[in-house]
Amino acid sequence: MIRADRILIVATALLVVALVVWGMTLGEYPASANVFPAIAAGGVVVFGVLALREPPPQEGTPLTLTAVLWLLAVLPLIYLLGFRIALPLYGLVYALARQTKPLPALALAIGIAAVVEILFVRVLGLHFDWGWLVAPLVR
Amino acid sequence: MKPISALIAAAFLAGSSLTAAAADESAADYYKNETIHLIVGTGPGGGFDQYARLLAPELGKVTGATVVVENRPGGGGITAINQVASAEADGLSVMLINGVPAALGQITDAPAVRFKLQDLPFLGRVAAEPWVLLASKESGYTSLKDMVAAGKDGKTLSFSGLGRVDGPTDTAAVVCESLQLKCNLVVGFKGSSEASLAAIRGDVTGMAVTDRSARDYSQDGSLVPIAVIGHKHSKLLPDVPTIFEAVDVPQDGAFWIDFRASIVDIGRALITTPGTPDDRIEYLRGAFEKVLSDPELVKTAEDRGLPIDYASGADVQATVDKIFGNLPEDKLSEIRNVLLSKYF
Amino acid sequence: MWDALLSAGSQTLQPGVVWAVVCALPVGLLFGLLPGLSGLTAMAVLIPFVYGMDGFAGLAFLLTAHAVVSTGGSVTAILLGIPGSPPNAATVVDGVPLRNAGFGGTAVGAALTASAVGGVFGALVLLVLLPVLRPVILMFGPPETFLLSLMGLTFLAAVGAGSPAKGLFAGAFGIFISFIGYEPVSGVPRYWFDYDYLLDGLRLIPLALGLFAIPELVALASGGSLEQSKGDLPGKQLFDGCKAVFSRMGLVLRSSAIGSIIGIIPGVGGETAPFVAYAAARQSDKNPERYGTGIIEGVIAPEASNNAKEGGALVPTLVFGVPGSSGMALLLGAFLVLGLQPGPNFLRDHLDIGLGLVLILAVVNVLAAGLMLALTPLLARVVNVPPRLLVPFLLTLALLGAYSTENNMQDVLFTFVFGAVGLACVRFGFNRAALLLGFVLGPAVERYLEIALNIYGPAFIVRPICLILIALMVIALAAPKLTARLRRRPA
Repeated sequence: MIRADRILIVATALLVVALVVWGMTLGEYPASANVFPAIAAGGVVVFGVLALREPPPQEGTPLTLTAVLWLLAVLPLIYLLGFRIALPLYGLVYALARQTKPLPALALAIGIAAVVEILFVRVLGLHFDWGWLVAPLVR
Repeated sequence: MKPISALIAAAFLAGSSLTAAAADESAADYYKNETIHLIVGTGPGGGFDQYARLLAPELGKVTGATVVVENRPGGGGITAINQVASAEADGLSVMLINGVPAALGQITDAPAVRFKLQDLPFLGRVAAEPWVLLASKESGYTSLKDMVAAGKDGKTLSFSGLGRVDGPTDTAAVVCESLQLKCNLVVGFKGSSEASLAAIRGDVTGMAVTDRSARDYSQDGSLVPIAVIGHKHSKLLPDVPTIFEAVDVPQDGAFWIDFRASIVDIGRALITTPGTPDDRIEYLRGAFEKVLSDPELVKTAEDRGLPIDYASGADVQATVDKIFGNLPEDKLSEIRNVLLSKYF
Repeated sequence: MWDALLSAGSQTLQPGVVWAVVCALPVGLLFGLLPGLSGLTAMAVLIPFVYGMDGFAGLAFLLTAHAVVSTGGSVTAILLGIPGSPPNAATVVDGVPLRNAGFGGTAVGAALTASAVGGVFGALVLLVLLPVLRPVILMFGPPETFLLSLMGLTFLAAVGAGSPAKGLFAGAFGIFISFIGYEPVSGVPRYWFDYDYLLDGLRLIPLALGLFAIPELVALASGGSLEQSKGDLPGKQLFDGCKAVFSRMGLVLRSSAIGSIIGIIPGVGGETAPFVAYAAARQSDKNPERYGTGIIEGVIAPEASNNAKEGGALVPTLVFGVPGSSGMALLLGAFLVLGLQPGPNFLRDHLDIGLGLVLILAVVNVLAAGLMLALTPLLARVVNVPPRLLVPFLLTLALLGAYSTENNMQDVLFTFVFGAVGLACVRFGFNRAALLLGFVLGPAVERYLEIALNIYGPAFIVRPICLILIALMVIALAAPKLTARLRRRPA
């Protein structure tokens, strides 16, 4: 069985070296712009080799794929609906999906909306695009 | 019913040879209740941001539109110009650009530039600061004449800067080229303030900055302003001679100074998206003229350390056309050589 | 001098100034507590309010908001494992294990007390050095800045827990990705693949949020929980934390001094101060292997230096009108708005204002720590909030924090990209703090080496301060081995 951490180290080292080689050849960077990336890449390779010999890491807190997917889901939601709708909605759905009673879930959504509207829109004056689905309606 | 009556009204107006006024009218109507995005290519807090936040409410008053300031930092302001240049041509994206890096970026074919300044509709100029050459006290030079004399003796002069075409460095390069000095430009400093520290320390012979910074840096004499790089004196430093007064600029050297000065003339300018209907462009030009010639606003701006030096959109457009209109290819490559490689 | 000090004191006690401080303090702390919002944002938000304020009050207002951000950020770092602002990342390393072991209150108490002491120390350094500052700063040119940054890199292996090889691997990777974007001297954009966002390189705030916030959120969403302190009352723990600081004054002073020095030198970057202080504490400790497992020193060192650096960063701003950090650049803008011109003559003409700012700095650091200590029992309840409510809320803050720095959706995207890196680091035991330190220091090393070579040629290393710095570096690298050998001999 090949250890996942070793695959990661080797892949990172290869990627970094590939970038440096690319910069020296096809990228046509001047020599001075290649020196430091090459040194850093050398560091990645050398310490990567040393790190390969380290014992495998201990299993810490479990990280599940479902959790990662749940977090990632917020991205398409923001693109479709814009921050101001997506974030409270996400809070609501997330809480409801995890057996929260409707009332606290709603309170969470309202709380998030309040933070977005008061702190980020009013105080910080941020400009949020409406998402792809909502923009035509707002115009 | 409504659109039809509007059509009839429009036809009537068109028929009655009031087209110009009608166009103006309709542009004014168009902007009422719309949202204009006043974009700056820097983060909050800097000079451009402060100018924009000063102008936004005034522009709102004049046009009846909601004006919001939007910060889009990145690429030294170039990225935001790209975005405005390719935005929807509805006249609702207006940007306050930094003329020097935009024009020089275009001339030197900087990697990220995807606009042509001569294609952008200019709406006006808010301010333009002349550039001033400073000499470090440690260098021992107190006038440009001394520097030129030293240069003739084969001395290498050095000037500090940030990037190659964002102001300090290219000004120094142009001076070196026009006066045929031997120069080494030390670039890479993180900000103009850090570059000025290098000059104060005496690591370099001097540096070039805007007249405002020149006044600040020179107050205790650790940096000495020796020449304005252009034809006109600076209002802030009236005693500093222009480069033409300070030394004899060789005949073909004058081209470089004029070239640089005309780029300075673009200044902090307002642009919008190419393809915007002409009546809206004219309307915005008028609106900015009204805002920027209001004595009260000019006074408030001065008090905040933001001097106003208004020029009309048409004037800035003419300046830009002059710069890019008659540059033959060989001159262009000469400029690129001077700005990008000759003195490094 | 004494007259000026007296007049500064009376100026500080004017009602306008007191109000300014009272208003700005909670704002700064709030921006510190919220991940992604930094002192820079706090100042940018507050600048419009400065117009129309009395000169000194306006300055006090901005300085207060900026100076206390890292005080607030330390609490988030310990309780949630998410640095409130990037410099608080070093506090996560030992703060989180402490919290997990049930000593969250102690860690917060120690962090806050260390912040206060560090802040006061920084202000005192500023006060003492005020008359001789100019030559001190002029002594540190590009060559010295280069060597200082390089020295910071020698600490890579010592930041945080785990195997040195993996730490250095992460650090080297951090250095490498810091080279994406415009090369400082030639201006060539590297590894940007015609993607405009990358021209300016990867950004610090999405990186810090991605590395620390996303893994923490994934852990929470996976069914983990923020472990709560058990046993002692929070009040008792906070008090223990305070005591821990005062029984380690040597460490506090050393860390504060590191913060001050890094703050004074423009160019090294204040973000590095807490990491360097952490690493220095670890290297000089008898049992360096305890660091990263949750010891109180690992919280005290970074937080003391974090607040001390603010005093340092004020120096170049006041003395040369040259801001030492982007936050100070905004402060400089405020000086101009208020009709004051910082620079060489500033201290001669306005010594009372300079001293007044020193006083403000000292006072607000203590006030901020006090306020946070009072609020901590309340804030600590956040760990009792069920994760199913906490996750979406924290995600909101993190994403908007990333978005707010540049109004850029791509920062949000990259928060997730770095989140993947952070997850890999957590899962496979790579050191996130080292990655972040490498990322911050990489560009400084490159930039100042090139400038130094351009100005002085290779001979720059024989400049006196450079020689001293090199000697210090050698000692720092050799010290752990030497002490180990010395200790073995008597046995």
